[in-house]
Amino acid sequence: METTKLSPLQFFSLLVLFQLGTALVVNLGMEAGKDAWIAVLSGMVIGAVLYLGYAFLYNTFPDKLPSQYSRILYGKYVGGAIGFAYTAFFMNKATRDLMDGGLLVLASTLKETPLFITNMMMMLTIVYVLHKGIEVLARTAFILLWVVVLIGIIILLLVVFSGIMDFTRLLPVLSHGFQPVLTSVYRQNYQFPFGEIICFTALMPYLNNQKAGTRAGLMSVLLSGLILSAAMAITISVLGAEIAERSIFPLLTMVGKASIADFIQRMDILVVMVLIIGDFFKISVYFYAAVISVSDLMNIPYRKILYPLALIVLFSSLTIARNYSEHVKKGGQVLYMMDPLFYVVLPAALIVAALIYRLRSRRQAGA
Amino acid sequence: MKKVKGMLLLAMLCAILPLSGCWDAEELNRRAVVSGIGIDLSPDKKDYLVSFQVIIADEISGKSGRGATPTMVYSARGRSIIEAIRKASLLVPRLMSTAHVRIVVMSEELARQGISDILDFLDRDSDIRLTARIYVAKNGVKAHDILAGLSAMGKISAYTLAQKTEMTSQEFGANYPVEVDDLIRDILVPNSGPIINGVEILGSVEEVRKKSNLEKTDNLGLVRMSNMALFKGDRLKGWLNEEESLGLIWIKGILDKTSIVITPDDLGELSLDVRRSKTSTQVVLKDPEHPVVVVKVTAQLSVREMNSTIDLRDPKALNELEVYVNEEILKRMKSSVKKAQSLNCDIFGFGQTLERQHPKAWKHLKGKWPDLFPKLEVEYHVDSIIRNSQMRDRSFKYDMKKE
Repeated sequence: METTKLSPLQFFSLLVLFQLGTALVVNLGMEAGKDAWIAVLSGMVIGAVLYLGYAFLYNTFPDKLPSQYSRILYGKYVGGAIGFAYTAFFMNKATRDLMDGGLLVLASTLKETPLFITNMMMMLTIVYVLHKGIEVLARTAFILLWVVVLIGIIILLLVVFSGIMDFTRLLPVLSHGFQPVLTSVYRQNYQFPFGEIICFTALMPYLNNQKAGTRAGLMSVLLSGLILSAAMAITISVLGAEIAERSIFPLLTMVGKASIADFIQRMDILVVMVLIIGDFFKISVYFYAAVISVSDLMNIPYRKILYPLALIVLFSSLTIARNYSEHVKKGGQVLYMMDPLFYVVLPAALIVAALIYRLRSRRQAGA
Repeated sequence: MKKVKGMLLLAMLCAILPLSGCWDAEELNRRAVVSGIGIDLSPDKKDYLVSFQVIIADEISGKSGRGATPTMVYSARGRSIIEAIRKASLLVPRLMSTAHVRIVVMSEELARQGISDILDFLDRDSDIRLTARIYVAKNGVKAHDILAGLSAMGKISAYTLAQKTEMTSQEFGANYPVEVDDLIRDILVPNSGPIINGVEILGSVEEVRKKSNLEKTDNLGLVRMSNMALFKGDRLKGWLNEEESLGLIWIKGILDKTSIVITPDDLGELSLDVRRSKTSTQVVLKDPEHPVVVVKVTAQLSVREMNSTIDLRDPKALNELEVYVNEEILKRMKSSVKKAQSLNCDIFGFGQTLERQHPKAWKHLKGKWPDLFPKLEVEYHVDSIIRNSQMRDRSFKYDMKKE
């Protein structure tokens, strides 16, 4: 294990950018129609509970990787299998996010560029940063968080002052009852993007301040949830639920609509910037979690295994789906059929084991 | 040492790839910037005839101009807009760039046949912004002719038209800018439809496209904003006249400024400016089967012109005038409601207001709305306030009468 340390603030920035990542630009919670923002908020609450669970695991084993403590709790074979399952899962998620970013950039701005080129550029950058180490990634996150915040403020001012928001488009709230919101939360919103922070369990051992780090994580979940919910509410209030629902990139369309005095306009490219920055951190953290687990499980130095795994991610990202629809469809199904295993079931199993472990070690200490 | 040099060379060679820059880059001198799109039906009605107003950059910049027109209109036939754009490459030597399209004009013929088939491109395309304005060419004028028109103020006539829309919606208020997303949202509202600005050519269609037209002080032809077209679903059903348009805009609560002329009994004529106006629409459900719409308008006015001997120093006189103003406003709103009800097209979005205010009642009224709307009862409460009378309190005619 490396001896690098992350400050709570850096950890916070990483988490915020990770959660905003792709979630900010795709139509989040749109199964709930114009109540998407409620679905996102509900997802955030569940996500915060999940995070507290992950944080409990970290606080039980403050200096161990998930792949390490899963072996302590469940033995060499079962624990190892859990570790490998997570590695494969993280690799798959990194691949999917790489494809996500590539396809969205292609659809919106770089129409003539081959997918391979955009994905390769992204992967090259990520490998370069991760080669430098997780600390460099965290410092980059801290800087880029300010860029994203600045862009966010510009977009907000632009949209507010061009007077295109009509909040009556959000009414009536919950017109079809709670059912669509619950469906949306069950299918998407608590996993994406909040449950996804499970991969940060691989980063938490590097925190230099256990208590403040844990708290920073919780704050980041709440902040990202609020930002995402507000972004969806504003998008729907500008475009109306129908157009937002049909858009594959609603935030881009929404910002494209903003114009102040025919002079300050066409700022939608800023949204593409946010997408690329967020996607970069999303892939990086997933990929890093996978790499560090593999290097721990198989006892291979981290920097040696980095490049081969990067090639796997890059090439499988090109073959994972034939088109955006297939990609989104698969992702949507996996999100509620497969992902809860990794976000809820396995962590719960680990938490139960950790509780027993705690009790036992306390009794031993007492005896 | 040799190994290091070799690696460095390899790295530099690799760097050549990304350093060549953006794959999608197309320089400006290879682009034809489209400022407006016009859509007509082809003579045999099978295809679309799509016209593009292209900015001739050389003529705009002035230095290298050859004295030609600043814009040029190219037309191409196609089953769809994108096919026509591709086919336009037969005529235009540069890449058609639609990112700066400000107006989209369609012919009345097409609008009567239904516009839903052309909208998807405007909605979907990632270059055209949703802020593009939509127009219908009135009086049998072709969309092509509107784009072909030249304007004295502003070189690019498509942008000039967009500015005219803005200006008249701020000053006279019988039009308001309609953009792509407004259109799509309104088409989706059941038993309703979009309202689209009409545009026509005043004078000669032939002259307006000539440069010589701009060499006279009184143009022989001029592209002019016209009344608004009323659509039901995606089909044009009729035109609102000025009074009806104003009424619609008043009910929608988006009026900026307009003028009102009143003729109080035997007292001559007064013209007033509406400076500020607020509208609130409420649906009252005393009888759950028969909703009543209550439209409340509060307007602030100022006296601008007065061919009368009224003494405005007396607040009572102002109060009396306000009654006449209320009636005028009422007349506009009533006429537009009457028109909409006769065509059974809920252009005011009363249905949506009902849905937002009484979501439960809407569920069972939704199906009956097409039957309810034509007979819908609308109550009006107009409250206008005359704030000031500019620089004089009486007209000079007051003194004339005295002598």
